[in-house]
Amino acid sequence: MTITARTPLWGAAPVLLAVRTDDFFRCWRKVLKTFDPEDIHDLRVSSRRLREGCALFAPLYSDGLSRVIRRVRKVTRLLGALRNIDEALLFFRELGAELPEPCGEGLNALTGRLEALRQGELRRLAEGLEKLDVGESRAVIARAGAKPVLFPRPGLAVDPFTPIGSFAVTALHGRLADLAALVPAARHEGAVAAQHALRIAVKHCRYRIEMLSFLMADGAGEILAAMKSYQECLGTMHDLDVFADMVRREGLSPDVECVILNAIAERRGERFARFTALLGEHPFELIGEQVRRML
Amino acid sequence: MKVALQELRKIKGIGEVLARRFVEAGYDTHGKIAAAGEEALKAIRGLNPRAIPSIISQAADLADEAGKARARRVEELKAAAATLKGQVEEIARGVRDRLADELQGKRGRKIERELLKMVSALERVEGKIGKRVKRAGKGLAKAEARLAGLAEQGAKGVGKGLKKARKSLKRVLS
Repeated sequence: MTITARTPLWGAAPVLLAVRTDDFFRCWRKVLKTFDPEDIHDLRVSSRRLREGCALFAPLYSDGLSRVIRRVRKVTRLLGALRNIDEALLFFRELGAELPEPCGEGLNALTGRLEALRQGELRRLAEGLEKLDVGESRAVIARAGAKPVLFPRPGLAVDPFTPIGSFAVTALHGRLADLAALVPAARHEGAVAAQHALRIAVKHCRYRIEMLSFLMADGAGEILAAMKSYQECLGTMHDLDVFADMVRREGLSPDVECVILNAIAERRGERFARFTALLGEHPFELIGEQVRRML
Repeated sequence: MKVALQELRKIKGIGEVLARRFVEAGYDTHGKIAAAGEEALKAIRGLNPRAIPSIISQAADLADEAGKARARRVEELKAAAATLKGQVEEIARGVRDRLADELQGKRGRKIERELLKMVSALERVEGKIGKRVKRAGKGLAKAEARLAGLAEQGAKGVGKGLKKARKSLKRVLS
């Protein structure tokens, strides 16, 4: 179906949500077949994209799509632990190959424990996904997404006849403003919590831009590439913080722990330098300006 | 069968009898004849071997023309479906502006449901146009006729009109 900037919100929202819903269930069915780490990652990302779509269009639905958001969030959370273990396994295996002995031995013990944990998580995931019932979930989500409110009702925060183009301007402006506000605190290398908050905000903003990019005159390729770079950079920084905590809890000998933590800190330093460079190359204010110009 | 025979007789050199033999041999469309090749067609009883190249070339031209005409029609129908969607949006806007008082209760929700169902039906029809050109053409024309004038109707008339318009698309979707 063709949606233009002038399509009313009530006509555009169900279609855009249906696209996200289809992708989410395609990924879900694939995971049920393979349980491959990449497919699990794709499903997790797809669930986040759908949730962002729900958050974007929630004001148009009488229940704010709360049941849908809750159901999708359950899937995201169910996948989180396994995804984190897979990331950690990948990282520590690579690190073990690079660092001198006896670090490799210590890391081998850690990866062995993670592998055992992975088996348990995999079982938990399979049971959890079965319990959530893909068929029923699809029916619930598709039904809810297809029923926006058309005529004004008390408490409805948005006019359903607003053209999607003007709605997009406001919706993106809100997310971009959130980003700009988080940057000053995240500029300090040790401000782990602020960087994590910025990472989450970047993610939300990227998915929102992706969903509305069809409205942008010259395409949003460059903007999305910049957002992806931010997300990857901040994501790696966050992962390294998590990995450092894992090493501290592992109870390794002080010498080995020190070498591993130094290696992690070095990598984090490099990532932080890249993040600072990104702030110079693609400041969020400029991204906001580009988005506004394109809409 | 009758339609296939008529279509095959558009090729110069194929009459009633030969058309029947083509169909019996499994070559019931211009496309199939064009793809068959000279050797395969030689097996058809009563067909002059010297006429075969001309028959294949005519069949290829006719198949090409039919494909283009179909593609044109599909595009026309897609545009018609988009226009109808615009029409439904206009009806919704009109209802909101004219009948604000009547929209608060059950009646409002009923019209809302019908409008959403109509849009969803049009989207599904759009997806089927490529496969069901004739049915889609008929269904969309009927729906257009039933939607016409709804913008001025009262709440009850709008609800009923939308339901009828949606039902006219049922055969496309069945």
